[in-house]
Order: sequence, then structure tokens, then C-alpha cells
Amino acid sequence: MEALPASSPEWHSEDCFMGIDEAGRGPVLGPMVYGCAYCPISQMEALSERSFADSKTLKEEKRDSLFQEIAEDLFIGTAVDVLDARTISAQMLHSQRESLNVLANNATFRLIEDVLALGVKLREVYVDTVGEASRHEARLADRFPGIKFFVCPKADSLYPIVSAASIVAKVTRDRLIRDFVIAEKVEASRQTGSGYPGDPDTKLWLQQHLDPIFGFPSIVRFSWSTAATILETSAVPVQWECDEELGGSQGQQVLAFGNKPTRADTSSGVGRHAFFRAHKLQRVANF
Amino acid sequence: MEEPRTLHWLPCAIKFTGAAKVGAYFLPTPTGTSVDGKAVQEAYFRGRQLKGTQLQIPQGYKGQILQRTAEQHADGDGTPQWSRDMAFSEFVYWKHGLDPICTDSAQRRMAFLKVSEQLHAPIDPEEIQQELENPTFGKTS
Repeated sequence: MEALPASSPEWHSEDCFMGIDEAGRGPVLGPMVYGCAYCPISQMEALSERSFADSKTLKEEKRDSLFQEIAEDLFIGTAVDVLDARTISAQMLHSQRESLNVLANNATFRLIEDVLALGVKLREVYVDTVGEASRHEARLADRFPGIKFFVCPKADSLYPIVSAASIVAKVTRDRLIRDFVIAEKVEASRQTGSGYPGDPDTKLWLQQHLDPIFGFPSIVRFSWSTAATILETSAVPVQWECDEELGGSQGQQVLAFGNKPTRADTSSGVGRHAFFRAHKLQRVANF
Repeated sequence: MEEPRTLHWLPCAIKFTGAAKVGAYFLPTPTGTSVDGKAVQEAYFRGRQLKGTQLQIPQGYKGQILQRTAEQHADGDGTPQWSRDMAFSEFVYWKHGLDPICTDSAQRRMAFLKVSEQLHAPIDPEEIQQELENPTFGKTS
């Protein structure tokens, strides 16, 4: 969350509307940022006279100056929800895998909850979506009864409030990428390219920051196929229990201390008590 | 003197033997939570979240890492030889994305040491006599 004023402006109790948009869904590097902008419905007319447009169509300088404008506007509030690359990787590679859409949904829910918690009287929320609009709209309406949702693709170019949200999201992400710090104690170059998997500079950065054992620094989304492919071809193979269950062998790995273990030595060996099988305990008689 | 080394037991097989930049990449941090009275740590490996807890080798036992120094020949000649590497009395047991709990087979496995002690304990003939006269086995008090 951005720093918020200590006392809420009076207009929070007026009927308000809000736009939500995301930045950084596709890149293999860095966070995915959900941003929102909200203001009183009475300001809707005034807002449409401003030059807010889809952040992707704006030059960086213009985007930064609009961001400043939004931040200083007394009748516009903003908030962001940042999903860092490490969280995205961890959730998508968890044994109970979450899809990016579920993560995106949860981020949208959190953002709305955060704004409601500030006492903002939300009546209408406009959401840009890449997925199926009607299902997303139904989920939101179900979760937040009393708010009218308008979910559609390209909302960032249709509604100025969503354009404002897209500027908030995009500028926040750009600054996080610009000032990125990695948790790992290794040198990292700032020449990351755009962060999109197709960018040759990004591909080069990934190759240059690959450790054969640990893979990449945690600014990389390990769950992206670009990262996974590099790991598969250029890093030491790593096998996980939960991946093996998808189609690998279920059997116990048998320790061999030089001499080949006999059938009776394995935990499920002939004549052995179920205790050993349950605890995967193997007998080692010869070293 | 070398820094004291920490032993980590990971929930994956890394197909590699040799030195690795553990100190630069594997950075456990406390989560501030605890399960079954044991503090839970968090670390990331290959993009996955790991949760771990420190386990002690029971009293009277010692952990020992062995390194093979000589192989047995394919034809069965020669004896494999081992040298002792690091000895340890504790290690960090890691799970993928879930809290380590005392009913995990890895933790229950340690219970074998207790079972083993009982199994190998000398039998007192008087106890057997008593048990025959007044059976307590299978009864809960």
C-alpha cells in the first residue's frame, strides 16, 4: 500500500467509483502490480476531461507526470497491491498449485477490501481483464454485494478512471524494477531488458544470472516457461516429490552402501514389519 | 577454522555432488510462527517456498556424514571404503510449501530409535513372570 493520509478526506463518504488495472502480468522478471484509482462519482465529468489514457500508449515521461498529477489530486485516491516474483513462483510451483488467474483474482479482492477498509463508499468498480469478463464480474459481484462491477477487456482505454489505475500500476512497477534489490548475495546487472520473455536482452540477463544449483535470483519467475527451459537445459536436474507423483515412480529410493541391497533390506521387504514400511526405514547390514 | 556448517535436508533430489554457493542463495529466515513447539523457518529454492524446522539427533546418538573413498568393482572385487566427513547433532528438516509437523514420516522415523532401545533392552525374567500372572499388555491404564 502507498502511504495514506492520516485522516480520510470527506468525499470518502460520498458515492465513489473506482478503476482497477494490472501491470506486469507477462514478464518473466519482477512483480505483478495491481493498481486502483477512485474518486467521487460527482467528479466523473471532470475526470473525462483529463488526458488519462491507457498507460501502454503513453511515453514514460508523460506517464510519470500524470502519475504525479494523480498523486496530488485531492479528489483521487490510489492504492496498489504488489505480488513479487518470489511469491508468484512459490504459489505457482506449490504442491497445491495456484494459477496466475487465481493470484490475480486474490490481488483484486485485496485491493477492493483495502479501499473499503479506508471507509470509501464504493458504488461502481471498473476492472480491466484479460480473462473471461463475465465470470470475473460474477465472482466480484458475489464477493462484494452492493458494488456494481463493470469488467471488460480494454477498460483501460475506455474509462479514464481505469486509465488512471493503469498509470498507477505501471509507474509503481517500473520504479520497483528500476530500483530492484535481490535477496541473494550475488551481483546482479541492471541490464534486464523489458523483462518480457521474447526480449533478447532479458534472455541474455537470465543466462548470465544462472547458478547451476540454485537457478536464478528471486526476482525471476521460476514458474515461467522461459525460466524453466533454461533450468532444464543449463542447470543441475532437481526432482521434487510433488512432481514425481504426477507420473513418476512411487517406490522408495533404495540406499546402496556399496553392496547392492537385497530385497529383504528395503523397508517393504519380505518378512519385515509394517512399521518399517510406514517409516520408510531401510536395513543396512553391509557397508 | 571453517564456519560452523548447517545441515539441510531438502524435499528434493539435486543431481549433483560438490560445492555450492549455499551462503549466497539459500537464506533461511524465521517465520515467527511455530508448529508442535518448534520454530518454523522459511527459505526458497528453485522458486519454491520451503518451510523447515530444526531437528535434534536423540541423546546417545550421533549423526555422521560418510563419503565414499573407494568403490567396489563391478565384478564384485574390492570393498567400498568410507571416510567420515561432518558429524552432526542437529539438522534442518525442510518441507515444500507446508509446515513441518511431528507426524511427518521423517520426524516419526526418529521414533525408531526409541523402539529399538526397547527391543534390544535386556529382558528381566521376573517381569515376564509378572506379565503372565497379571497381563497388562494391550490394556490402557
